[in-house]
Amino acid sequence: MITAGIDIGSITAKVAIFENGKLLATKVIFTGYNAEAAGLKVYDEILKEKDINKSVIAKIVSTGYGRNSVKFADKSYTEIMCHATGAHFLNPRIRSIIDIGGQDSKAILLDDKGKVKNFVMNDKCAAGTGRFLEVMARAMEVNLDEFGAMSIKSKQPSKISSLCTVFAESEVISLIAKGEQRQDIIAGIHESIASRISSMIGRVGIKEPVMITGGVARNIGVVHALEKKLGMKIEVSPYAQVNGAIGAAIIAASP
Amino acid sequence: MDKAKNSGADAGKVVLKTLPHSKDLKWPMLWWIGMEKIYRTLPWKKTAWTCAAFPIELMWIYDIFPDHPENMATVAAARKQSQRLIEHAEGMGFSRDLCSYCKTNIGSYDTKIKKTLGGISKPDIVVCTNAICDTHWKWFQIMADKMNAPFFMFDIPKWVSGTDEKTLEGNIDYVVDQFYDLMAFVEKHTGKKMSEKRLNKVLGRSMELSDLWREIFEHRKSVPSPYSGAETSAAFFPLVVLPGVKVGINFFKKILADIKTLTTKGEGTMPEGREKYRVMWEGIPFWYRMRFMYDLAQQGVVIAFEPYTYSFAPVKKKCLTMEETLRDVAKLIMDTPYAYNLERRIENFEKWIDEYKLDGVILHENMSCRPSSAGMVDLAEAIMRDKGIPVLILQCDMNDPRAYSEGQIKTRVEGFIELMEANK
Repeated sequence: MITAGIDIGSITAKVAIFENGKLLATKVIFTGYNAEAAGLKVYDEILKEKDINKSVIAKIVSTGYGRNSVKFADKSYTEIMCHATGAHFLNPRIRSIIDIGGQDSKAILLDDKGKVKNFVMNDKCAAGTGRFLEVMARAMEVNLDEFGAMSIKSKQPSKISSLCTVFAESEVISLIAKGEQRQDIIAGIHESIASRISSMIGRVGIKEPVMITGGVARNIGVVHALEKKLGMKIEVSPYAQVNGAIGAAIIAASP
Repeated sequence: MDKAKNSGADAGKVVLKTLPHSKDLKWPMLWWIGMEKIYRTLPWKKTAWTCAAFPIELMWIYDIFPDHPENMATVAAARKQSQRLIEHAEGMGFSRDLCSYCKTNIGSYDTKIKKTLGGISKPDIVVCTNAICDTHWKWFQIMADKMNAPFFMFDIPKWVSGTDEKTLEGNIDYVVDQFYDLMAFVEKHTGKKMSEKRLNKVLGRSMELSDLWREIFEHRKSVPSPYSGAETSAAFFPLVVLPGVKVGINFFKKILADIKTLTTKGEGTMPEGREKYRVMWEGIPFWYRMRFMYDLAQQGVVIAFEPYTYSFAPVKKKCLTMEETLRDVAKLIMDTPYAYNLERRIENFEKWIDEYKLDGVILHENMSCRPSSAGMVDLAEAIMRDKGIPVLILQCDMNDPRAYSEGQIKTRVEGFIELMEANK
């Protein structure tokens, strides 16, 4: 049986195709302003690329903030359920997931069967999310993809104390004006994200082993800062960005 | 009104059935509005501003009309006015972090908006207490100054975990002393005198109103739920401003009779077979978006119990003397386990979860209300540990729509429903 999982996030739209318990393909595009069109586009493109006929897709599950705009999906589930399912599929030992996406971050606790025990999400502020990093990258005039590599060179991370994205941006600008090293400022930004995430996680009580998912997991600087702050090793999902879509495709395949 | 509330973005599938007499809420409301007009027109009648947890009965005993800034703030929110009033107050220099009831009240008084939109007029006196809210104190003082109205504030000690009998008795003495100060204050500024006959009549009715609400709650234990939080959040109005007045009693009696009829037939507020999850809602509702509770119904969720409206109907004692009555009222004001006593709060919540056969709990972590939000993480942990049901903490605000984020709240609620489903 072939199934599809579509995850419409605030920044990117992801799709995963599954066949009989095996991952066939994944794809990521920008969501843009039209979530419904992004869902259609990412789905059509992957089918075309892999030469799969729509009629063979037995079931489609949608997830993410735009889950309800995927009209052709058979069912929708929250990202919480889908990230849990995806992470459990990739490593059944995982007991906690830190998911940092474009507009929200969450911590999910799993039981030994991969069932969600509890979850917590950030409040509606953007600090500690992918969007926060985008704003900072713009202020730093650095490509976001280079953030991780640059920050791990830092010997003395700067202090970013503001919890608000806008104020943190002006704090960063004043640090630049003071002449602080770029890698130190970026490392400081990552530490501020780690502080915010760790206090959020404290509300559910993290259990090891921990996996990080979501687009921000690709930033090694954030992962290191989190490991330092939490005092534990964090496994980066090999499919961090498409983990939710994978989970959705697996749920679609379940009876 | 129900039609409108049942017509949200998620609507179309499930329409909550309201009780036949739910529309009779208009009578206590009209009575209250009419009375205010009379009390403001006749020169010998007086009006006061009061607040939640203030013994409103005292005002009725003194024949003083109790206006209620918080109640009017909820009206402003329901009429979609609160945001502009809050922003107006912030423009006057009040901090964004201040309570949204407080800012709505300041904004509505300063902009002189219409009563029907949540407006409020200057009273003869301002009386308040810090029993359940520390903001009340400064907020009412500021407004009394602004309006140049005489101000009286009760300082109420808290009955927290571990408060011993001796301390409690001392605290009761302290509060009762303030009752006598209040009487002197009222007599001085309004010329009104205490009448023991009226006191007994008002307190008797207040007790009856409380008893009726608690009896209604007894019937809410039925499955399916006959009366959801979507209705009680409006229907408890008489407990807020009309304890001691007959019109509220008549309304509650009709509601109770409706509920008894429903439960006898085994019917609920949800269409037959649609009640899937019974939840507790803790905290003040989102007054600007009451549709939230109707949206929950679309997914089979019914608010079967809420401590908030229940807390307005404590067990009241019939006392023989005035001194005894005042001591009982003092004790009641100090006793707010919903906010200030975590151990008793947990104990109560766990008892209600069993009694009302609940599948989950939603806790509103209210940016405006520290007392009701404090301890929520501990409360959630205890419930999940002891009762094995999911608990959702929603960060939002009761009167400030800027705190409500549609997509984020929807994801949290749906995630919570998925947990309840998996837990079945």
